[in-house]
Amino acid sequence: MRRMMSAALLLVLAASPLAAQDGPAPTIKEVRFEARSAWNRTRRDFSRRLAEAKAEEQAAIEADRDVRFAAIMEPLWAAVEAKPGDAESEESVAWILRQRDASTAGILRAADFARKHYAEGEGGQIAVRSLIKRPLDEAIAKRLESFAAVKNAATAAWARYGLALPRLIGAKDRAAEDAALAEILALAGREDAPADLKREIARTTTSYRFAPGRPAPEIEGQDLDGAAFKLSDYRGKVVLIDFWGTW
Amino acid sequence: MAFVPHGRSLVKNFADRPFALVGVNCGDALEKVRGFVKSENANWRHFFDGSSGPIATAWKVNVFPTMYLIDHEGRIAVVNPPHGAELDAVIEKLVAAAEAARREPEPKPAEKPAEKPAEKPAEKPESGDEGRKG
Repeated sequence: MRRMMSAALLLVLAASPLAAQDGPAPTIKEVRFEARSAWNRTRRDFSRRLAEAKAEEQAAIEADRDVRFAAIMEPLWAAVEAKPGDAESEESVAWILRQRDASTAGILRAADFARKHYAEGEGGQIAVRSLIKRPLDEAIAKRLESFAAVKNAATAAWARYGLALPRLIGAKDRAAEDAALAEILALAGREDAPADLKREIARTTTSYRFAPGRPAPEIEGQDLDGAAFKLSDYRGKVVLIDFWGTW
Repeated sequence: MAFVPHGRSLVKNFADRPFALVGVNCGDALEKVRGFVKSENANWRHFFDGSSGPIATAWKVNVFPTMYLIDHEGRIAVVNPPHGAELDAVIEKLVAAAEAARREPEPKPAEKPAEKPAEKPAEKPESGDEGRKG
């Protein structure tokens, strides 16, 4: 059903093979639409194959999928590279970067393109956030380091976070963990830190920040009579904090 | 909340020692908390966190009750300590350490400082944390 709908859509958009022969060259947007429907079909087919495959067959199927994906993307890349400054090109690269099933090679290519043409805009941040979803290997680290140097503070902060988080998660001893945690919390503490990065950091560092041996975060609030007090008022004493409710 | 009688006994047993029990009430209306604290005699200080719960949010508490034991230096010592008599024992140990710290740091006056450069608790050893490429 979906396949039929997308085929109909493509006809409407005059991006069918027939129209392509003598009509005007398809726009970047039309090329992306075509790539997208092919991509979605292919992804569905491969998810089914992967779900049914034996463990030892998975790698071969994924490699096959990467080849197919690359072929599907080629016309889009040609259109994008011909007009990198076109807003539709930026949109197309962003779309590629958002594909979780894309091969790492495809993501690296899109990230490099975004670094070159859209580093200071939204595209730079989309690239960074795509890169940090992948395991941090040398290739990814190289790109993140490059994005960490851009002027756009939000993009640079996300890139630094992407480089530091694996050090926190993979810390071999307490000193390494302390160093990585301090680095990440410093990113969240900066005035120009983007709100979504702050939220992300609050979430990913929770189990580290509230572990035994860590400084307890300050609590500032009011008691039941409205009088202000804070946790640090009790410095020098042992404090048992009890989070409770009557419900 | 079933902890109230034990809380009262902790407050009593550790009176005059460096210990405090602090509640953080979450999600109740203020009048209800006041009534409850009075009727149950939960006679220690409570933060009123209200329905928005900024404290519980900051501390990522979404299971109740959740308890944290904080040592005299403001570090988290135990997350969700054991219940019952074991809780008293854990607190006793930490309170004893707090008392020891209170006695010690007073530098004794009029002593030659030459021999003993004020002892500090051994810091954790530095460890080179290079080699995380990849």
